Amino acid sequence: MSNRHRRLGAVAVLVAMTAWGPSLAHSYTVATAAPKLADLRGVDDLKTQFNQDQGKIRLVLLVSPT
Amino acid sequence: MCVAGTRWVQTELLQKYPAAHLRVYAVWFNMMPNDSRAKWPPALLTDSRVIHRWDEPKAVGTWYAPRTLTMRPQLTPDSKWGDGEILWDAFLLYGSDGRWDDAPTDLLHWGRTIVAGRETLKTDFEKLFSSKR
Repeated sequence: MSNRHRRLGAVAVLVAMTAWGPSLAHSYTVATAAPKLADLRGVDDLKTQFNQDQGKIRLVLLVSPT
Repeated sequence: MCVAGTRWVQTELLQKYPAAHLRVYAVWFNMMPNDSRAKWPPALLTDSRVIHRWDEPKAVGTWYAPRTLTMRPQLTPDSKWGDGEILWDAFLLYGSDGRWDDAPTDLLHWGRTIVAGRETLKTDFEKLFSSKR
């Protein structure tokens, strides 16, 4: 492979990293931060969590999805 | 209304107090005819301090409703609550000392709807977390 080809290859890699890098990083961040919805196993489930979080201010929201 | 209220909590409370030592329990359940678990909006409350739970039998709202009589002193002035069977589109703010044995203690304020209680929540957060903005 000639030096010219090597330089072109390096430029192509740099262009690809510049173009796709931020979007890939963003996707990763969103994926790990996405909230999860788990089933509540009764009022005691909330009670247990509430007591585990003693020491924090706690805000309970009772909401419907629409 | 619930969607508007939860969006307001995300943008006006959680985003404005990123360092607040706080836990939010978002308890979701069906109340309107078109509600369903499939319509849960994951992009609405994205703060890592929020725990989301789906409450199919509406157990928490049903548990709270009859207890609202004893919680009247902490009801926000703008609230609309007419002693229904299920408390919903509502918030309950507890202090850090609160513990739940028979019922959770250290209730600071509660209200319905979340939108109607915005000013109270905003004032409470300013008092509690003024150094955490």
